[in-house]
Amino acid sequence: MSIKIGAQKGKWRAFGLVRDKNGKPKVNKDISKIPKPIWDMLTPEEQEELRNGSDTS
Amino acid sequence: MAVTHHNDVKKAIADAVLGEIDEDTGAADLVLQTAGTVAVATLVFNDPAAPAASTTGVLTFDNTPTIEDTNATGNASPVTKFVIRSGTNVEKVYGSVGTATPTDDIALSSTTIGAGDTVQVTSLTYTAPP
Repeated sequence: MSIKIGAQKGKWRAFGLVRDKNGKPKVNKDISKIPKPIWDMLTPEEQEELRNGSDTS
Repeated sequence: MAVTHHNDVKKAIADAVLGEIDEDTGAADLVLQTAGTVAVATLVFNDPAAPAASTTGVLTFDNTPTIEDTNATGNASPVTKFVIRSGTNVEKVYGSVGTATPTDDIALSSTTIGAGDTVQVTSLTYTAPP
């Protein structure tokens, strides 16, 4: 007889921001798709720029 | 019925994971790789990488100073996975990288990383099995 035990897995979680070599963030132009932890890594100026140029189509 | 663990066990599991990552002299690191296991960026942890796990088995990695690579090697192919290595480059943990949450273990703002790019991570946690 075999006994099968169902086990759930541990979980890793992290968010990361990539900037090009000029310091410009490489993010989705549709800001609704940017996870909040990544959004919070942007400067207020960068957030404003993305809001103004956001492509939500 | 799924197996679950007492909080004491969850904490022990999480502390064991941290022990493996921090077992060697020097800081551990997190290497972002392509599907072909080519290293694209190497982000160095603080040493120790994290304080002991919480009573519910959660490790929260120390992000001061920031865990980052300010001069990535880069690659034309996107990163799809990561490996965490101890201070002497012994591989300890593997996971997925993408842009989606919550399906990817690490969600990046872009999976295409060029030479000289900067990659910073935040909110890095490990949660022991429930």
